[in-house]
Amino acid sequence: MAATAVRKARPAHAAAAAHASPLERRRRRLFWPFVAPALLLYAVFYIVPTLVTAWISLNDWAGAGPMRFAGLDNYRRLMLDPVFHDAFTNTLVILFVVGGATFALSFVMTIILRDMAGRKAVRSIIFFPNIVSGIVLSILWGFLFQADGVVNTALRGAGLAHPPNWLGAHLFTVIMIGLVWAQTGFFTTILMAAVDRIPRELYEACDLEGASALQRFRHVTLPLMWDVVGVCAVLWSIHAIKLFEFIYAFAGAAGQLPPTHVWNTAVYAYAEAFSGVPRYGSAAATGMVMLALVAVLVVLLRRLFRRDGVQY
Amino acid sequence: MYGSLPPRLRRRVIGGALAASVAVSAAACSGGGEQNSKTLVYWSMWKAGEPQAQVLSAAIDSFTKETGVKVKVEWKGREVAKQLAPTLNTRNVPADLIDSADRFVKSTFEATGQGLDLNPVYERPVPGEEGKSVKDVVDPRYRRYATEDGKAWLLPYEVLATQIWYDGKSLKDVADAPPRTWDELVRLLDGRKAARGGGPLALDADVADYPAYWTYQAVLADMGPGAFAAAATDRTGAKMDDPAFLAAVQKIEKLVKGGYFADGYNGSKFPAMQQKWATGGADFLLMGNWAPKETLTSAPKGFEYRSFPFPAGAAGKPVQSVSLIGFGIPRNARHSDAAQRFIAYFMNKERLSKISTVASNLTTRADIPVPAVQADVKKTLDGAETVPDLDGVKMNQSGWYTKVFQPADTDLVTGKISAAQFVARLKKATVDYWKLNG
Repeated sequence: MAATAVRKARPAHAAAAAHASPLERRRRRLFWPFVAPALLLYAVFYIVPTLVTAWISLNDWAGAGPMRFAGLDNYRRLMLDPVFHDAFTNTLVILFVVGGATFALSFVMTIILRDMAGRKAVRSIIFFPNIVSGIVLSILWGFLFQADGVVNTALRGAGLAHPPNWLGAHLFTVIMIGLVWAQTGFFTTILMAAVDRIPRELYEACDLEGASALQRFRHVTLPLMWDVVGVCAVLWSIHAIKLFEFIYAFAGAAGQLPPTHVWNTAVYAYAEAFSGVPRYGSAAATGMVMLALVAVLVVLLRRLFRRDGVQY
Repeated sequence: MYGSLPPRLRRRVIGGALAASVAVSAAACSGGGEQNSKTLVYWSMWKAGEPQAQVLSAAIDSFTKETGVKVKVEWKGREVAKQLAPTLNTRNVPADLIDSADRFVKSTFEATGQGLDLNPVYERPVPGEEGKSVKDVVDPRYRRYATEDGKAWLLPYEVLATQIWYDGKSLKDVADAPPRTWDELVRLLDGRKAARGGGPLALDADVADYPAYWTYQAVLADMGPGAFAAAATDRTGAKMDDPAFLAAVQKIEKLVKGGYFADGYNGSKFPAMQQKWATGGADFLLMGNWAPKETLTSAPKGFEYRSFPFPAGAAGKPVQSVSLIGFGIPRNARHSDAAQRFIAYFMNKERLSKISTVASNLTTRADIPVPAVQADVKKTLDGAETVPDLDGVKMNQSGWYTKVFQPADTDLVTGKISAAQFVARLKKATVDYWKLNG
């Protein structure tokens, strides 16, 4: 029966091809030559490594020597490991709290910068943390927040006799502040690019109606840059989940791992693979959990930000 | 298909294929450590320009001159073993020889079964020292340290040891009579605390190993070698119920609560506190014997690096913890014979002495004079029992050390929890850890 169906389908397909316009036929002929290289690269550098990682996550393996099939044992251990729980929680806190603060600040900056003189210069300045390597930022952050650092010296100068022990008692908070500082410029720059595309007459209409800055943002700016906000949200989610160097370089010292209470899942995966006898199975399982988290978030975000395109 | 190629191109293709197959067979022949290799690839933990790199570089040059073996050296830095690890399972292991800290060589080679047994290297004659083989010149203590189940996994050439460092110029009394017991140390600290109006102990607590040194040394002094490792691997956690364990930890609690650590120790970024020590902001620093090298640029002129061992405790005998830096050879190295030749060549007294004279470090040969900054360490090593640093726990039980011990220990040393809370937390976390990872 299947064979009949195939026989029937073929002439239909051939007939459709015969009826297609010459341009359509040429496009179809060019489809694979254009798509194949990208598909091949994607398969070699993304799909195959992902499948290999999934396989490794089902094994106990020290990176060399024999692999021992362990089934879901690596996942079971992750689920029961209190250090992984902390790391996973920290990842979610970074994702939502740092993300929320970053986006809120970026929106505020967008409102302020839209009407500000010299906004191009300001935009360049706030983008600056993205140009500098995460390692350099982490060193700077250390100078600022350590016991006798710039922040505490300023606080003492302002009359505060006992400024906070930032690195000893609030290390994760300092990391979060650093991440907000480093990311806000990046997202503000992208959002500002979207704002620049919004026709000026819409804002002129707002002015005639007597709308406040907040109303202009809510009724004009935000709806017309909604798609870009969606893209930014996806970008942030991916970045937040695989974030590594800032935590590793800032909270770790002298080539050592940061304290476990500030690990996120990426640092956890690194620690499993590179501290002591390598546990690549566990590191790979952590990687798969991160991949699953990214996938779920991207699907949810796409649904959240899906809506009809606005023409302007 | 190839029939359509022009004759000239066809000749090139066939010629290229032949050359490739000859190269492949030559490579296959050289696999598994062919004798009399004329090349050698060496990946080093040192960075170009570091004193040790200069010493090794000079040895490589003379080795090539004398033997005709070309050494392609890459100064990879401290992550060298991690970089090599992913290649060990392949046919083409890119390095024939590496040098690294003991724990990295062990985790990369020993735990995976990918390291060459280095016992034959000990049997090799040392070039330039007639009648002596490597086993005759390397201190047997270090050979034992780097051997497991009869297999030598490291050929050590440099010794690291943890001591309490101070400036002998400004603390002449300490230099004349260093404290030998815990009570003497506390008396000394009391005096220094009163004199300077603040804590005399420098500690970069953000480097988790450094607070760990304090707790481990206290346990070692009171309970003897192996007690810390026994507690770490005790599935029941019962070893931590030993009152001696709590008593040892309480010594550290006393230091914390008594304000003996210098201001800012629990809220700084490394190397702020060790620099504070080098510039006179604190008197003592419990640190490996790399302390002089790391603080040299901060210390004022005339700073006299002196050190004394962690004072003896209830166990009553002097013990010195050490770790090693040395050579390892991958099991599948293509030129392992040349790698072994180089190791034996480098262990020659004259060449290895430069680790002492140029790099100011201790070597594994007892007959090499030590640099002035290491004289106190050497004196201790000569009279004390040596044990692997941290009882080898960081090397052998790194998961427990990182996930269980370090977080609780840093909280203890930075004053967040008491000694009793530390022991209770450590016991519970240890039992949970082994339930999950046993």
